[in-house]
Amino acid sequence: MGLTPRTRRIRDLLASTKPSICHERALLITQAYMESEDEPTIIKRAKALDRILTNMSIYINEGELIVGNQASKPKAAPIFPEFGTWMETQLDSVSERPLYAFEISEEAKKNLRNVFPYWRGKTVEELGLSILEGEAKRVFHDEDNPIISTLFLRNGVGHIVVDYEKVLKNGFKRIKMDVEEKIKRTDPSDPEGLRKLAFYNSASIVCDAVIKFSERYSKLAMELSEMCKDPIRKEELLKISKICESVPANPARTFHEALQALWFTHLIIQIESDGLAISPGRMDQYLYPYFKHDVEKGIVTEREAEELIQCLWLKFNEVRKVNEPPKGGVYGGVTMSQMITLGGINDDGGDATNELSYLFLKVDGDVMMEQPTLCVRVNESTPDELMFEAIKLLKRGTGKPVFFNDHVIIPTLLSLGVPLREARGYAIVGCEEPTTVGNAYGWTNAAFLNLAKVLELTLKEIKESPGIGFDELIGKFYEKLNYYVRHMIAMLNAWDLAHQERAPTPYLSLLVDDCIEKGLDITAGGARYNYTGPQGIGLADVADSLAAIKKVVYEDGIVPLGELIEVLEENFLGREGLRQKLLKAPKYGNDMDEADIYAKEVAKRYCAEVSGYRNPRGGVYRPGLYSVAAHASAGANTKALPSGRRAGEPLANNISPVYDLQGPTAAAKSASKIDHYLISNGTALTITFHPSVARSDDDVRKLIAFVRTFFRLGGFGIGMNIITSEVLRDAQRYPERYQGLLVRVSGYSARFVDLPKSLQDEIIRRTEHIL
Amino acid sequence: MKARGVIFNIQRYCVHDGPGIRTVIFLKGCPLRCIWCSNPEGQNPFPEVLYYEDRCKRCFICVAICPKRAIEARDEGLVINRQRCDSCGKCVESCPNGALEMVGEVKNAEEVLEVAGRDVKFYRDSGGGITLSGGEPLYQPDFSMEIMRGAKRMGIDTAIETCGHAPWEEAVKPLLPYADLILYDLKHSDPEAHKRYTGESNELILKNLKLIDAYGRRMIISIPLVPTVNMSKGVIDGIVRLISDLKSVEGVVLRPYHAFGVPKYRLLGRNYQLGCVNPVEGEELLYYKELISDALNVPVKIA
Ligand code: SF4
Ligand code: SF4
Repeated sequence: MGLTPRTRRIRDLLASTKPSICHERALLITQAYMESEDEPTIIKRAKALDRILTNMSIYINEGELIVGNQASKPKAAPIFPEFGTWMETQLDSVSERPLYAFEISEEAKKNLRNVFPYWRGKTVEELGLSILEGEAKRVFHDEDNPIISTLFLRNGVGHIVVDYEKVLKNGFKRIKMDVEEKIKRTDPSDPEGLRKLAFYNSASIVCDAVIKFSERYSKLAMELSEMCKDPIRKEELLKISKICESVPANPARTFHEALQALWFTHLIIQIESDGLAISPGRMDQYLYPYFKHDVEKGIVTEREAEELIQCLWLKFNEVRKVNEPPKGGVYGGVTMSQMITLGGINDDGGDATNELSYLFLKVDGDVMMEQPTLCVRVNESTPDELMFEAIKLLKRGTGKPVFFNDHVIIPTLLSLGVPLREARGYAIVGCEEPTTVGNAYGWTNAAFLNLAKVLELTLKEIKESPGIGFDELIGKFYEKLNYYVRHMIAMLNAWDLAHQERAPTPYLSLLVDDCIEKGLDITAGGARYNYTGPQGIGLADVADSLAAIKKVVYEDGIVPLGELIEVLEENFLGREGLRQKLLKAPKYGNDMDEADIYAKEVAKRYCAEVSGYRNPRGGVYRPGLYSVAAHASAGANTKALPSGRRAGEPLANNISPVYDLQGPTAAAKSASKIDHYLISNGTALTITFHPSVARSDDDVRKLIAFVRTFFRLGGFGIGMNIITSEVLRDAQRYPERYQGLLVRVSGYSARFVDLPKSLQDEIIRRTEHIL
Repeated sequence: MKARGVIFNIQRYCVHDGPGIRTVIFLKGCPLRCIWCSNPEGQNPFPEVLYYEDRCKRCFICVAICPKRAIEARDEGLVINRQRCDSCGKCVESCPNGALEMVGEVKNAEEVLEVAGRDVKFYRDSGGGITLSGGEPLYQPDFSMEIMRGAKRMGIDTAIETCGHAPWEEAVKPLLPYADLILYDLKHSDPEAHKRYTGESNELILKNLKLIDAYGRRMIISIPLVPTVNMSKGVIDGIVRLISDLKSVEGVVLRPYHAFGVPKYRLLGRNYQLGCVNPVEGEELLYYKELISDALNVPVKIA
């Protein structure tokens, strides 16, 4: 059936809309802060959100059935000066960026210039940096710093799945009653009493602000309806008005109300802070009762329900955030990573797949835009049919959805002490990070540690003592690894304290257990589960390098270690022959233990080391092994490696191999030698498939079997690119023809034409598994 | 395991060479010389040197190193005297530019089975296994036999792709107990034409076809569709008649001609004899597919 005429119109308009910068939020929050300077930070934050929601421009676009906007225009990015004022230096260049450009008006520039001075000395960034001490501080400023840690220093945190279901079931009026009840019961003379009261009072302000916000839409819809000449649209607007009058203040009664309540809930998280990867979680589960009820009762037809979902999908593409300009850039594209999780198992351990799981895949294929991102949870009871439809969607070239393995992830969560029921209900945040739903603050994309750079720095030191043995060399590498992990933790803990101090998020706290129960903001440890998740990147590069050193230096004696290190520093200048020998050494990804063993060992070391630390919110560190797009920027700062990789080339993506020549089964087997149960913050193998292995239904069934076998071998997750390199090369040459071409870059989908050239090249270069 | 043989590739995750996910083992050496062959490097039963002219920098290091004086230096590149060359590989090692490559290596069945065994879990979940292909697996019957027998012992499903031109008693019959599926090539119905295009008549092939059928091994008939060779209603009808009353045939696969193999002839210093013909696609392909489906009651697929 595809898009309806309505959703096609909205989609076309949105596709041609350019991203822009909106100054409204920055102005409103500045005014609000100025007026409440002597109040507790958390109250200030609540009042600021109230100010924003009450005064920001709102709109209802032509034909929309789901309403609610993040900034003054679709794809306009609001500014969040309370986290950092880096945007100040970007005002003149943001519209000139070769990639991810945002239009900006002179008026916006002027207004923003006026607000930044107020924030000097008040931001999370400044406090975070001043909290950081000692050696870690030196490492942070060192130009050879292998740690990419600034995402949560200069921005909000996001990376969460909140309890949407609570809003659908109870509504904000009820949530406010709970808060008021707490206020009544909190004794100000208690040692914690006043702090709790400040939190509850802020929560109460926020509840009202949310309800007022939806009422503004109700009123606007009513006004538009009165003016509307088209009788059908007039009715629609009237209906929207009624819905916004009712939700999210009250429980949702219909599927349409549930979608609208979900959207407001989600949207306001995006407005409160500029964290990325606000993920809607298991939408097919919590929306299903409303869908089923309405369809059975004839309140909506399936076709109408589908159109409503399309409208919601389009909304996910309206929200935007502006990133710091990539200095190489952690994010290859501006991706909001609003990840929706489909399928999996239910509370009783049975298959959770339902009609909505299929319908969401279908709608995504019809809308064909970057957001939301999708994943499918797979276990032994997952119907092949669902995977079949998922791979059919992958064939469209969007890189969506990614598959995740319940049989690894659930035990991984159990090992962190999560009860079975909650572990079974997990969803994926952002790219590949598993989380319990509505009760965890996971800081899942906290930092990246460039493992290849750590090896480079190890070798630099060893140059002075080149006589050492291979085991000793590996020992030195682990020492360095531990050293940088320790300082990475110090950095992230500093940022954590700064968020707690300067940027509490009372709205987010309302939606995450046990903040209300504890009377504690989520930034201060109010959530039931508190994690911090830094990722190691370049695992394959390290494995390949260690295997190459072993073979070429220690076994074949082709070159002494000291000389090799010099050759690397010179980027193989005049030593192409040696580079060829290094390239011929065993490589990870070919199902050969000689190299795979190092991937396994280094992963284990990294995970063990990270897992030993705790964060200021009372939680533990969770290691991840994925790269989003950081393997490109990190690669740009990494010299030549013993693997044969030249200086500046991108590092391996996720845990994917670089030189895999034996096809996907070999790559999968190599990857599965790594102990995925240790990687509790998430990982995925990304494999690029030539479309010829996915042509017929029979081919698709073989891909399903392939995924299942990888999962039986203990794989955590798998992303599949089904694409041709010819197409990609052509897209480099004629980007304008390929605006809609989406690719998966280690865990998220981005428009290919938005990626920097180095990443584009890497995608093309990646070994294709052609038959 | 003693048998050794020459193979020129082992490819994992093959999805178009029998059911499920398969590892295909390409054996080198074939009794036929089909003029359209897209794997000419599979024809000779010994390792051969491939020469990539575009990578060659004319340094002639290889010329000096060849113990057989098999390489002749010319301005336009090298000419390798294939009669003289004994595949020692010295030139390949010496070339600093990767312009020479050896295709084919001698392996024993055990080594092949080690690789084949690596994807056992993928075979199980997908209903796959291994496929012996080539070249012509029956050209090295003992080697093939040992691989197939070993695979069966490991519980691996086996398939063999064959042109059928091999002695029944010595090559075909002993293998049948170990082959779960036979992908049997039929290229032409007429013995004369068969000889013209492949170098051999099809009499032995047709005899074996009947014997395998009588033996009762599952067969899928594979028909290459090659313009100017067998693409006419008459020829295809003829092929259909050959199989219409066989009871072990479970399906037909049409392999439309493509020209991907043409550049390899140059690498081997040979000429491509089919000349320039277009790949077979679209309507034409469907026409032949329907022609066969209408005549037989087994599924007909396009590879
Ligand atoms: S050694 Fe290599 S580059 Fe030199 S002439 Fe021979 S083939 Fe050409
Ligand atoms: S393989 Fe040996 S004999 Fe043949 S051309 Fe090369 S060096 Fe000469």
